[in-house]
Amino acid sequence: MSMTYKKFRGRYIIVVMGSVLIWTMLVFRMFFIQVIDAESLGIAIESRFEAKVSVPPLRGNFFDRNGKKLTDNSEHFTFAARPGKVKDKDAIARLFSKTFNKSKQYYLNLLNSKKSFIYLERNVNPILGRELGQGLLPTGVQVESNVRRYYPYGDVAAPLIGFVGTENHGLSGLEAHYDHQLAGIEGWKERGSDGRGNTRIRGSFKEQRPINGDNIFLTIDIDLQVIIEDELRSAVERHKADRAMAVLVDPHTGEVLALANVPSFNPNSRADLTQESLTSHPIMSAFEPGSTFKVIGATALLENNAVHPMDVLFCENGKFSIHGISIKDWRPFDNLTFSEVLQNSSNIGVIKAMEKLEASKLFRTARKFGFSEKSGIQFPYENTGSLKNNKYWSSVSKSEIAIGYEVSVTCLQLAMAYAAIGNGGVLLKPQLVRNITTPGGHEQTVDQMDAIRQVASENTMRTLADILEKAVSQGTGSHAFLPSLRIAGKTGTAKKIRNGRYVSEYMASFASFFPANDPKYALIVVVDHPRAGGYTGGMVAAPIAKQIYRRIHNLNGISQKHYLQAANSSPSDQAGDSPSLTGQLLSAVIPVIKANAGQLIMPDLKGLSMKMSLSGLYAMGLTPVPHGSGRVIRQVPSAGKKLSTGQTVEIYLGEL
Amino acid sequence: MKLRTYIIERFREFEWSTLALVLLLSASGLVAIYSIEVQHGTSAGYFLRQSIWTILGLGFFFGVFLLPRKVIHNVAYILYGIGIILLLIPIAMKDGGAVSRWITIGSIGLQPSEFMKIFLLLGLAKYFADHKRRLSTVKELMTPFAMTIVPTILVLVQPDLGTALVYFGMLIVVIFWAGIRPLHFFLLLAPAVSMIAAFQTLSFFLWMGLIIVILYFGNLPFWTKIFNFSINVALGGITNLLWALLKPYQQQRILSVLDTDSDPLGAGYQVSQSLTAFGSGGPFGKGFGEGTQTHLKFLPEQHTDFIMTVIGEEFGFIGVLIVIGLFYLLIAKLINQAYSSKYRFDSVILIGFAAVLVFHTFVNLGMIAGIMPVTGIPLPYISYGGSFMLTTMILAGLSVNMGTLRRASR
Repeated sequence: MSMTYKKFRGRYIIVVMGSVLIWTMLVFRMFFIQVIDAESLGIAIESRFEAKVSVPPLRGNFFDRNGKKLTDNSEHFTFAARPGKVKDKDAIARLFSKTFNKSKQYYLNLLNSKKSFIYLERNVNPILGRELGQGLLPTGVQVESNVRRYYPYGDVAAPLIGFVGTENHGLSGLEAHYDHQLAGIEGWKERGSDGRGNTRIRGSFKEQRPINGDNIFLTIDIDLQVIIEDELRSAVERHKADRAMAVLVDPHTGEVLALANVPSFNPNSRADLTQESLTSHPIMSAFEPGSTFKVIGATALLENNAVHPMDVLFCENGKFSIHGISIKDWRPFDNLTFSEVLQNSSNIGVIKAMEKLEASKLFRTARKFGFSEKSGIQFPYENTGSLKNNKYWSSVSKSEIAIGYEVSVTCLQLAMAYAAIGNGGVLLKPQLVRNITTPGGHEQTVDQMDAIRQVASENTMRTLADILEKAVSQGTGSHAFLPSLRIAGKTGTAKKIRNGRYVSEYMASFASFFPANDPKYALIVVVDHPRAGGYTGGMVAAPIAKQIYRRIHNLNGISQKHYLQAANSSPSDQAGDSPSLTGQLLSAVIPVIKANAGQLIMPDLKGLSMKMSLSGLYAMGLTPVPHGSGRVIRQVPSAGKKLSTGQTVEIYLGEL
Repeated sequence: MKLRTYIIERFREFEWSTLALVLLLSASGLVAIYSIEVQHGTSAGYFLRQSIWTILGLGFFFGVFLLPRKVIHNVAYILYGIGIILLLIPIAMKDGGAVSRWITIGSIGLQPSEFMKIFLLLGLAKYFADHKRRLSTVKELMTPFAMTIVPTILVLVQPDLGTALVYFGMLIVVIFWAGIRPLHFFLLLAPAVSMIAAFQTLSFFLWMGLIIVILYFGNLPFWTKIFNFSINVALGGITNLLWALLKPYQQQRILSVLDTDSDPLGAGYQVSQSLTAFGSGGPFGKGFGEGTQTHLKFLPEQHTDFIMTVIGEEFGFIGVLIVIGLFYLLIAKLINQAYSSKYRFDSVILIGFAAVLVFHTFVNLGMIAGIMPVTGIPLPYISYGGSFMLTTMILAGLSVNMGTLRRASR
C-alpha cells in the first residue's frame, strides 16, 4: 500500500502558510522599496554614487635632439566661490587681495554680488595657485586645477609642432599628426557624495589610472631653430617681405635640424592664428625655384658628359631667342665657361648647354633628385611639387625647366637635393622624428637614416660642389661669402605667377651647404616677395644664409676667432647687431649652466629676452614661469641661489 | 508505433500550466538580459547564450517528462552516485590550490553542484519511498543526513556556501514533509538557532531556556536530553570561533545585511546599488531599455544574481509583482501536487523542487531587497547561467512527469 499524504494535512498547511508568509514578506518589502520609499532611495542613495569622473592623462611632450623640452603641460588653478555659502567674506577678500595685488574691495564686491557662483581668480599660475590651494583656504572657496599645454619656446617652430585645442587634442602640425601617441589614455575615478552633496573621502572607490601620452624626440635642434627664425624674422622686416622659410638638414644623415617659416603664431595665446601661419610652408607649399634648380640640369649634363666645366659657351650678350621665346640674363655676358655660367647664373648659358642633352635625361635626373614625389617626411599634408613627364613637354619646356620654371618644388625637396650634392650624390629620406618613448620606457624608433638612391656619381657631385663654392666666392652668391667658411651655394630669383601671368614679384632663394668639401649642413633660405632692399636671391636670401652659418658656427664654438674676424670684415654687419647679440647670449648662458652641472646655480637673467631665458632655464632642467613680456627685469630666486632640478623659477618681464 | 502511442498518451495529460509558468519566467529573464546588452551597447553574447540554454533546457524538460516514472525511480541512487563523482572531478582537476566550480568541456562550463540538486532530491525521494520510512526514530534520519552531508562537504571545498545551504534547506523541507517528529525537527533546527542567538547574550539565554522547557516535556531518554542541550550550548559557545573561520568577505556580507548603511561603500555597496535601482524604478518603472542603471554598471553580477534589479528598475513594482506572482503560482501548484500525490517518491520530488524554488527565490530577492546576505544564489529561470537553467528545467520536467501520473492513477 502506498501511503497518502492526506494524513499530513497539518504539515501541508504549515508549508502553504510558510510559503505565503515568505511571499507576503517579499511583496511588502518590494512595495516598501519601490512605492513608499522610492523617492528617498532613488534620490538619497543615488546621490551617494554620483559620478564616474574622468581623469585626464598627461599629454606626451616633444623634445629636441638634445632633450630640450619643446612642449609642457602646466597646471593652472581657478578659484571660485558660492557667495551664499561663504561665511568669512572679509578673510577671503584680504587673502586674495594680498596674493593678487588687487584691492580688497574688488573681491568684496564679487563676494557680495547676488550671483550664485563667482570666479575669484581664473587660470592662476602654478606657483601662486599651488601655494594658495594647499594652504588653508577660508570655507566656501573652491579650487579647480586644469592642465594646459604650454610651449616654452613660444612661436619658435610653431607651424612645425602645431598646437593643441581646448579638448587637449592636436589641431595642427606634429601635435595633430602624432595626436594618437601623445594623447594617452583617459582614466577614471568614482566619486561619491552624500545627500548633502559633500564629497566623501572614505570608502573604496574604484579607479582606473590614466596612461600618460608618449614623448616624441625630434631631430630638430631648437637652438639652431631659434637662430634661423630670428634671422628670417628680421629679414622679413628688413625686406618688407610676405614671408620667409628655411630648412636646415644634416647632409650625411638626412636629419632635419631646423625647419622654419615666419610669420608664425604664438601657440600659447593663439591670438595671431591664421591658416597661413598654421601652415608649415617648407613641407606643405611648393614654388617655382628659378636658378637654384639649375644644378639639376648641370648634374644631368656633367653626368652624361654632355658638357665639361671648362667648355666655353657664348652667352649672346644677355639677349637670346630660342624655340620662339626670348631669354634674358640679369646682366650681359659674352664668353663664359660652363662653370662660370653656373657661378653667374646665366640663363642663356644654361639653356644653350642644355641643347646638347635629351629632354628625358633632364626629367630623369630631376626625378632622381626626388622632385615631384613625397620625400617621406613624418609630417601630414606633404606637398610633392610638380614636374610633368617629358612626354608631355612642349618645345620650350626643357629650356624653361633647366632654369627652374615649369617646375615646382618644396623647400624640403630642395634641401634634400642640395644635401645629395654635398654628400657625394646620395638622396636621403628626411628624418624628423627620432623616436617615440612610452611612459613605461619603451622606445620606438621612427626615422632612421634611409638612403633612397644614388642620384649621380661622386665625381660629378664633387665637380658641382666646386662650382657652387665658386658661385659664393666669386659669383652671384657673394653676399653669402665669409672668408673663413667654405660655403657652397646657388642663388635663385624666380618671378611669381599671379592669375596665370608672371608678375614683378619674386621668390628670392639661396640653396647651400657648408663646409663645401664635407658638409655638415645643407641650408635652403627662401624669402617670398621682398619689397625693399633688393629682390634677388643674391641680395636677399644669401645674406640671411651667411648670418645663419656664422651664428651656427659661433654656437658650435668651432672657431670663435674666425667668427670674430668674419664679423669684423663684413661691413653689412653693423645693421644686424642685435641678432648676433642674442646669438652670443644664447651661447653664453648655456655653457655657464653646463659648467655647474652637478650643482644648479640660478643664473643672472636680467636683460635677457623671454625666449633666451626660457630656453636657458629649460636646458637647466628647471621649470620657468614667465610673467609679462619684454625683457627680464626680476627673477625669483635671485642670481647665485642654489636650485634643485625641476624647481620652478619665476621670471618677470617688462621694459628695461 | 508503441512509442508514439505512449508519447501521445503522455501529452494528453501534460500540465500546460507548469510549462506556461516556466516559459513566462524564462522570457522575463531573457527580456532583462536583452535590456542589459542594449543599454550597455555591448555584445557580450549573454542574450544569445541564455536563449540557447533556455531552448536546450526545454528539450531536457520534455525529455524528462517523457521518461517512465519507474525508470527514474529505479536509477535514482545511480544518478546520485554519478552526481557525487561529477562533484569530485573539479576537486581532482584542481591546480595550484584553487578548486573550480566548473567542469569545462570545450568552451562550455558546467557546474556539477547545480545538477547535484536533482540527484540529491532523487536519492532522498527513493530512500523515503523504498523504505516507507515514517521517520519516527533518529536512526531513520541518519541516511538522508549522510546523503546530504557528502555533497555539502564537496561544495564547501569549492567553496560554495550558497549551494551547501540550498542542499540543507531542501533536506529540511523534505524530511519535514516525509514525517519527521516535531520534537526531532525542533532539535534538528535548534543548533542553527543557537549559533545565531549566541551573537547576543540575552537572546542566547532566552533560547537556552526554551530548549530546556521543550526537552523537559519531550519524550526522550534522559541522556539524549543532556546530549542535545550540551550540543546547543557548545555550538553557541564556538560560534565566535566559527565566525572567525568565515572568510572576511563572507563576514562582511552577513554584517552588511544587518545594516546596509554601516559601510555603504564597502560590502553594502552592491545592496545599496540594487536598492537604488529598485527605488528609481518606482511603481511603474522607467520602461524597457530605459533603465539608466548608472550605478549598476559597477555591479559585477547584474546579469546573474542581480538580474531582478533590471526588471525592478525598468518595469517597476508592477513588473516585480508579476514575476513574484508567477513564482508563487508555480510553487503553490507544486505544493498542491505534492499534497495530493499518490506516491511518496513523487510527493517528495515535488515538495523538494518547491523547496529549491522557494529557497532560491527568497534568498535571491531577499538579497536584492537588502534583507538577506549576498550569497550568490541565482534567481531560477531568470538569472543568466546554463547549469542552473538546465537544472531547474529538468526539475520542472520531473514535476510535470509526476503531476500527470497522479492524475492518470485516478
